[in-house]
Amino acid sequence: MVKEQIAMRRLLASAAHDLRNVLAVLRESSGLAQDKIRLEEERVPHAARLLLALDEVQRQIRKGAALADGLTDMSREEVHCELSRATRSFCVLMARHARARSVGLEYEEAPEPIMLSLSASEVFIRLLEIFDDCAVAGGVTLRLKVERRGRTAGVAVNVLPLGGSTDAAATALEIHAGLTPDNAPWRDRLLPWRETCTRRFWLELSREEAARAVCL
Amino acid sequence: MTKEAIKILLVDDEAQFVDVLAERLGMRGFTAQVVYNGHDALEAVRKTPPDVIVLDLRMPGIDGFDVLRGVKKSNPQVQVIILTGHGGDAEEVEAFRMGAYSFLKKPMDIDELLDSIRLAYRDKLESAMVAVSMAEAGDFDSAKEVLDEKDLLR
Repeated sequence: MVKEQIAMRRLLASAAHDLRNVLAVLRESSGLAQDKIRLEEERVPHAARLLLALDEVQRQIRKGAALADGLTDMSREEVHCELSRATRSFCVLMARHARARSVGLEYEEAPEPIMLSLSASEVFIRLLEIFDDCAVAGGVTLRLKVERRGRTAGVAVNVLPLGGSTDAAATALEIHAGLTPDNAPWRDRLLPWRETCTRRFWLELSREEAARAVCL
Repeated sequence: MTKEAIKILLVDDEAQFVDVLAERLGMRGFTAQVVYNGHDALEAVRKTPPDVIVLDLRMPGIDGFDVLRGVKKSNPQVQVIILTGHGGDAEEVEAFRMGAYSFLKKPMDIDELLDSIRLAYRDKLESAMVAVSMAEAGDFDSAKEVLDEKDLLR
């Protein structure tokens, strides 16, 4: 298994590198076309439309670069990661699959980097488990907010409606190992109607880091 | 000093990428020499040291790290900007440890690269000016230390 993981990581790293090179050629070539058109905009037929199309190419290249970042994160052998980056990569890599399952994925990074003694792959696995629980129901958006809370760090998982009810997804997450309900105690009394549309959970990852250290 | 005066050397084995990049830099008033491997890069630096090198890391034969090491040994005042498709943190740390000025990942925005080139060149000039004022004050050891180089004092 370890051998397979090493092989997969090498393949991913190589693919991500090649993907970046392909995107770099596309970026420079389309950028050159933009430069040339702008130089003689009045003489180029449909210049405005062409520039718009090339802007879209550039936008797609940026999306491709984000995918390459995600692949690079998955290929890392390091046993530590920066939590915001790992969460962002997860959302980028899962975007296509999430759309197919009617699940929205959003993320919010912490204001400062949060380093964990977990590999990015381990963070992906934890987030993927949460995603899978919600995907069974579908019709929800998962907003993942990376936070430091005192001396711990983790991901606040907000379940928001996306054309459906949050009930089924929230029920699945309530029994999800490692997730704790994250609604403020006063909320149930003061804002009971809020709970019908938004459910909050807390995935603590630094505690796992501590437990892991104790096991070692 | 105008932007045309900055001597730029582009080193990358991806010809389709680096040729177009040189053309785009040219359209912005920067002249860049292009080489496609590490051996030619070291040779170009030996013949006419550039102000700034934009260097790929993974190349067949002499790779970017070897080039960076060689340049910093022979011409430490030359600023080196790493521009690579290999986005590993370890490579980034190693490049900075070896004296790289900045580390950019492909695909990059050309304005981001230009900013980096301008800053690298300005830093080089500032170091030279500090060294000159030290030398004028008779403190040659400190001047040499600032530059840590041979060419300007030659």
